Amino acid sequence: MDIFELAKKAKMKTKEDEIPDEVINRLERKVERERLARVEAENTIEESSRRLYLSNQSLDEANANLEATILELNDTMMRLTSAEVKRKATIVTLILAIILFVVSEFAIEPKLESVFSKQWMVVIAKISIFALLIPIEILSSSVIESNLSKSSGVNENMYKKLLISAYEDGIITDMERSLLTSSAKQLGIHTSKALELENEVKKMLGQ
Amino acid sequence: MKGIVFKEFTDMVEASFGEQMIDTIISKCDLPSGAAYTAVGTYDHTELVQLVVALSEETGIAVSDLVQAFGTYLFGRFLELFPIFFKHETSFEFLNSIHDVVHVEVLKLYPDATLPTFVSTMSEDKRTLWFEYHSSRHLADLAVGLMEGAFKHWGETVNIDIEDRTEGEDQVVMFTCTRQD
Repeated sequence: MDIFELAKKAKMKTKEDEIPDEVINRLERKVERERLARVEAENTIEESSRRLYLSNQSLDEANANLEATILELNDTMMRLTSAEVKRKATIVTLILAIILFVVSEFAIEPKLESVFSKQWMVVIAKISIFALLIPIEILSSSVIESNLSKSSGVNENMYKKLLISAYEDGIITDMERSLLTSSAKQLGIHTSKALELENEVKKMLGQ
Repeated sequence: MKGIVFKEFTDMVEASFGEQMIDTIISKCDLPSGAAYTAVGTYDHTELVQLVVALSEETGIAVSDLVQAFGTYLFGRFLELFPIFFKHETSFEFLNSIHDVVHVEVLKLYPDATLPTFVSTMSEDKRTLWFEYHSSRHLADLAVGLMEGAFKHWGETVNIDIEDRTEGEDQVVMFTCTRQD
């Protein structure tokens, strides 16, 4: 049913001879309605933009909190990683010390005893061998430590994990981007390496 | 009820029955809003009922005919204002999407909107649609008008069989729509 068809058929009680005063009154009422509607619309818009502003503000705040939490998490993860590296280095050093002890006890000592006749000379020789051991230990553990943290494995893997979670929804938001950049810096990943890893992750996720 | 419905109604009356008519029916009714409707506002749906009843009294056209004609007019307006929702191949596909797509979008923008519920099922040959209307507003006639607007838009001939299933306070109407073409 078309409203214009209905209107044509209706027995309309419209006045053809509306006097000017009536016209003016009618138009005045119309203007007043339009004015009230405009005021109401303006109030609604003002109220909405105020609400938007407030919710934006609380979002910003939440974002800042999240960013701080993530940085803290990154820091904790790095500490855990370095603790793990240190633990590995300690184990290696310990094994090295045991090997050296066995070697000195069973291979070097009998020789020393045959070379040096006096007991105190044997003790001095032993102490000097141990003194030699200390720098070897320090050296080996630092080599292991730097190898473990440099051979990147750990840091790059961590950065990759961050990339994967950032790309999960298919887009990188401004916040995700700034987090990635600061994480790369913190993890000691060079910009070009970071880009390489990012392309790798993108390819992996098929994007 | 959302302001857009009121704004479209008053615009329609003005366009079809003239400026005098809209002034007359507004003056006849006792409207808390003063009929200063904006598309972004929300108004009591009884104001619309009052306006339609007044229009019926003034024109001698039955209320249900007016509401139905308004529905058809409103469909055309929705089509102009929100073309994105009308990309379907057939009217049945569109009607099937109202509850799960269109009304979800409306609720995103207006969480406080009170919308009618439509439970729809399409037959396998896609030539029959069972479309059940549930609403506290008792505007099944408006739904009929909107559906007719949709059938016209997609150039289809559809027969609507109307069965009132109201039991409680809400109006429940089952529309069985069958393609005739």
